[in-house]
Amino acid sequence: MVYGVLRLINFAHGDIFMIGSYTALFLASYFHAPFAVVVPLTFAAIALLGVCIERLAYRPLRSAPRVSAVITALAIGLFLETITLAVAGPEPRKFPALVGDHEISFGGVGASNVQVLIIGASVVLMAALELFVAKTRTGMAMRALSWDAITAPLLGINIDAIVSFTFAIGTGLAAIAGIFVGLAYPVIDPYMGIVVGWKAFVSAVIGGIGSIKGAVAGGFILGIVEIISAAFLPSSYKDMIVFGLLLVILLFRPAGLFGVPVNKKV
Amino acid sequence: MNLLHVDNIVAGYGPLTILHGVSLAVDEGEIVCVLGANGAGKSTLLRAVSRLIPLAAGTISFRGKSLARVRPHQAAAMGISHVPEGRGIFGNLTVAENLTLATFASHTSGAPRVSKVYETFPVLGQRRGQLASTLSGGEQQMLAIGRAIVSDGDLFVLDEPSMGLSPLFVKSVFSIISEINKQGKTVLVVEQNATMALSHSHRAYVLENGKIVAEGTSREIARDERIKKAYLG
Ligand SMILES: Nc1ncnc2c1ncn2[C@@H]1O[C@H](COP(=O)(O)OP(=O)(O)OP(=O)(O)O)[C@@H](O)[C@H]1O
Ligand SMILES: [Mg+2]
Repeated sequence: MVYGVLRLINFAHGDIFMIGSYTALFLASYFHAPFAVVVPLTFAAIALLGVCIERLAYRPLRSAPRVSAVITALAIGLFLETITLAVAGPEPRKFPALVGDHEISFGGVGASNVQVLIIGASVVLMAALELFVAKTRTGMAMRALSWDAITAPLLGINIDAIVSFTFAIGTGLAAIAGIFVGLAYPVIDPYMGIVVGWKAFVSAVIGGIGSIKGAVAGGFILGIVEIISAAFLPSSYKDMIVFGLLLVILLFRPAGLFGVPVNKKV
Repeated sequence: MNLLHVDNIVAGYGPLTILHGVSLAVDEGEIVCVLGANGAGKSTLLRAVSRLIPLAAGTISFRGKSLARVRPHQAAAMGISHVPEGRGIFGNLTVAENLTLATFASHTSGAPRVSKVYETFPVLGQRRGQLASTLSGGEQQMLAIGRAIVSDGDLFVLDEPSMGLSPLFVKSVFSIISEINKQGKTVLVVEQNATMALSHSHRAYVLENGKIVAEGTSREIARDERIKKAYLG
């Protein structure tokens, strides 16, 4: 999403996700906050963090060459990892069971309530995001900005406000993803964000970067490829296959499988 | 008091100075045109007015208020509707969305003005659900002017509205500009098409290499031998 609006690949996204997971862990274990409090509080805290990162690190570079912003993003990722290492230590932590886990079944198909919650909430959040970008005036402004950021202010659009808002939503949602992953795989560590960040990037590339539906489809394709490759090859080949797929797609369909080539204004 | 007062401004891009002390004034209700060859600094002048580029020296005031610390989105909200060179259409948005966006600058609901735009330009009404990138050049120019109508500023700043249009279309664009002016809007328009601009404006300035070299009523300027030679062929 941040890429869609700003043409900036936020390589720190995976680490924001990790920080989200740790924030939830902290809220739950030190304040014994229940799930219904942890989620909005984590979202708000990390959204604020995202806004601060944009203000301090990215905004000064907005008119600098793109590569400066990419290097900054990588540095922010490292910074977040190191901070977490210093504060929480390198050893993996047990993520608290915020939601009591039990089996539920739908006409014979069994699933855990946590899985249902995660999938349901993800679908709702993505649909909401898609609707927001498609229908609201702010969403329109985000799309306009991605097309032509020079003209947008001439229509009264405050670019800084829209960019801050985009970062808030993008990082807040990454934090929620961090909570979900903590619920599903309840052991978290400071490096959990790296592979996840890369996979999110691969999904986005597969689906056509900047498109929400495309990223979801890309995520599914990625998951299926991983499962199939794990079934036939030693599981350590999994990541190699995934990133090989990224290279192949970038070669043959640089706009993604479902993406329309970006015909950016000249 | 002038609606817009540009006083001795120096501006450009980074170390590159383009405008070397330009002054001009636009009174309420006027159509003022700025003529100049390619690269004279016409677009740069308009960008300075709508605050897209900083000033190295000089002042710009709008309704008597200094624009020194005003940012472009604030200038738009104060009533400066800048239709940029090349139109600045958002091609990834529909025609209707392009018009809706223009309500960011106005503090009121734009719905009545959007309907007015569809009345003025029926073809935009027919194409309202279409992506703006699919419009023809002329239709895009209508959309760009339409957006300024929705923004509802007091000063329309138009950068070469005739660019790339057929002679017939240029005529209708200028008659729309006159119409907008009759409805109370002040217009500052930059043009290469001197004949058209001079016959549809009250006063004119001539910009050469970042300096104003002539000014007067459009009639005087149209009769000036030197200008005739340079701009009227
Ligand atoms: N973004 C920019 N960065 C650097 N230089 C620029 C930029 N835009 C314009 N210039 C330079 O400023 C000078 C004046 O350009 P400007 O666009 O104001 O001319 P113009 O009078 O509008 O010309 P035209 O009739 O061709 O539109 C030119 O020499 C141009 O190369
Ligand atoms: Mg120009």
